[in-house]
Amino acid sequence: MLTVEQVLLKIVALVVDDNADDQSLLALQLMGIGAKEVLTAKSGMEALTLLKARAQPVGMIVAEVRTPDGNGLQLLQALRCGQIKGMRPNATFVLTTAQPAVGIIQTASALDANGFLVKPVKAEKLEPVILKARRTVFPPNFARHADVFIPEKF
Amino acid sequence: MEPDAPHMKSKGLSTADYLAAEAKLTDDEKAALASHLAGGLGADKGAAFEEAEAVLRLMTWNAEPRVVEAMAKAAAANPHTPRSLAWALANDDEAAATLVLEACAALSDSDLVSLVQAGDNPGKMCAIARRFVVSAEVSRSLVDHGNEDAIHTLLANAKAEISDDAYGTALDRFSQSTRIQEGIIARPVSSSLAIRLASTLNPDLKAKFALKLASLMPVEMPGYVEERSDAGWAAHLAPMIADRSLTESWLVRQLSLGHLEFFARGLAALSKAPYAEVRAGVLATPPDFAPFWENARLPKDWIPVAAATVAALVHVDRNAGKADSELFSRNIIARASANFKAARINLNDAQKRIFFRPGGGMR
Repeated sequence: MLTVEQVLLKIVALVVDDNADDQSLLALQLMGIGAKEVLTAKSGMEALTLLKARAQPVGMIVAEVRTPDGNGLQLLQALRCGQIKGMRPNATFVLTTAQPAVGIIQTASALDANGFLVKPVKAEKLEPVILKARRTVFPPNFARHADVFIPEKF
Repeated sequence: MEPDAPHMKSKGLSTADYLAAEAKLTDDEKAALASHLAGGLGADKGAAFEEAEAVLRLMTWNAEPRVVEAMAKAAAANPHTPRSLAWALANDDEAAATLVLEACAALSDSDLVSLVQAGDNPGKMCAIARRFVVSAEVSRSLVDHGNEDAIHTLLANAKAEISDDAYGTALDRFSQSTRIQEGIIARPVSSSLAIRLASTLNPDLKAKFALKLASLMPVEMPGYVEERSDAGWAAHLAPMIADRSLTESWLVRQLSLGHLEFFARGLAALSKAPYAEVRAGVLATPPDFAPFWENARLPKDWIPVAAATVAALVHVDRNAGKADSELFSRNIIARASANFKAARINLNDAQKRIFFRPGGGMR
């Protein structure tokens, strides 16, 4: 089985979180386990703008569920529905949250999230979750994912 | 059974309870908890069900592979497993996924087809091929995308529904595979597939298939079929063989009258070959009975004439009624005449006598 360094060797990751401390901590952790480059954004909308402007696709997105101006689940839905140009709809997407309510887990599951991290994210937890997220690839299904309802607030 | 975890009780367990205790649980305890929760999901989909499902889903994302395998084993056996959990497990590592793919009723045909089309894991495909129910749609997808192992597994599944079209694709994709061909001939096959098989199989399998067909007799045969047993046919033909009246001319004349079974039975008797083998050759597309004809020591220049007449009989039988035997025969002769012309077959006098009838037939 591949190590996390091998899995992340050529991966550019995007961390989406409006909490600056959480964002930088996660970015550092991802660099620490071998990501080639880590980009950051504070909201779903900023992430979308950044992704659309890039010539090279991002290999993995790690997004907080609750972010202003487009939350993590909406970003995941946009990806799964093929609305992010240049990215595979079944690209790796990991959600993070400090409050994993049942509704959030159900929605994340319905959108085929590849990983789910509960904050605070500890380094020893991050590695196996990222490894598993990278090897779990769901077949794309635009119609099913477009039908998933995402509430404005959780 | 309650899991053997000192840190928590599973009854009424919430995601918050689980997350609070997660760090203290050993993998064995997590596996027991996962198995207990997945096996305990019931028909009542209330709040407790949703909490349990959420805990299980968290585990699929975060827990060790053997914890997820324990969950998959219980989920596969539970008829109340929700589709969302089954789908997550089906897309998990192979060891967990195969358990669910093989047995979980929550996965729809559409789910299974999309997994097969993704096609990145032969082990998962084999698990789908082993399911208790495999619809024609799922079989079709396996035949289109699966490797030889998956298709062989599918063919060995007596409950799998497989269309003639899918069998054809399997034969095309694995034309050199004895395993695939054997798998197909072991299953119930339609007459149209039998005809294709007769011209596709290698000689060993052809013989095996002929024996199988013989065991399934009677099967629908074009033309007029007589109610006679094998022994009955032997008794019927024996005097004709003895007085040498069972000639090439007589055999072809019987074809022109719509008696394909008589033709095949007669040829089998003269060539001393099993009837089922001769029958398979006669029904092949195009007809392939030359070896039997030669073994019967019948004149070779009659083979194209007989083959064209067999093809005419089969065509007319498929496209027109045979209630009026005279009309049926006239149609066969007309079609055979067209076949002779298309294949540039020139009839000798003896052959012309069969196909020329006053007031109709060949001119």
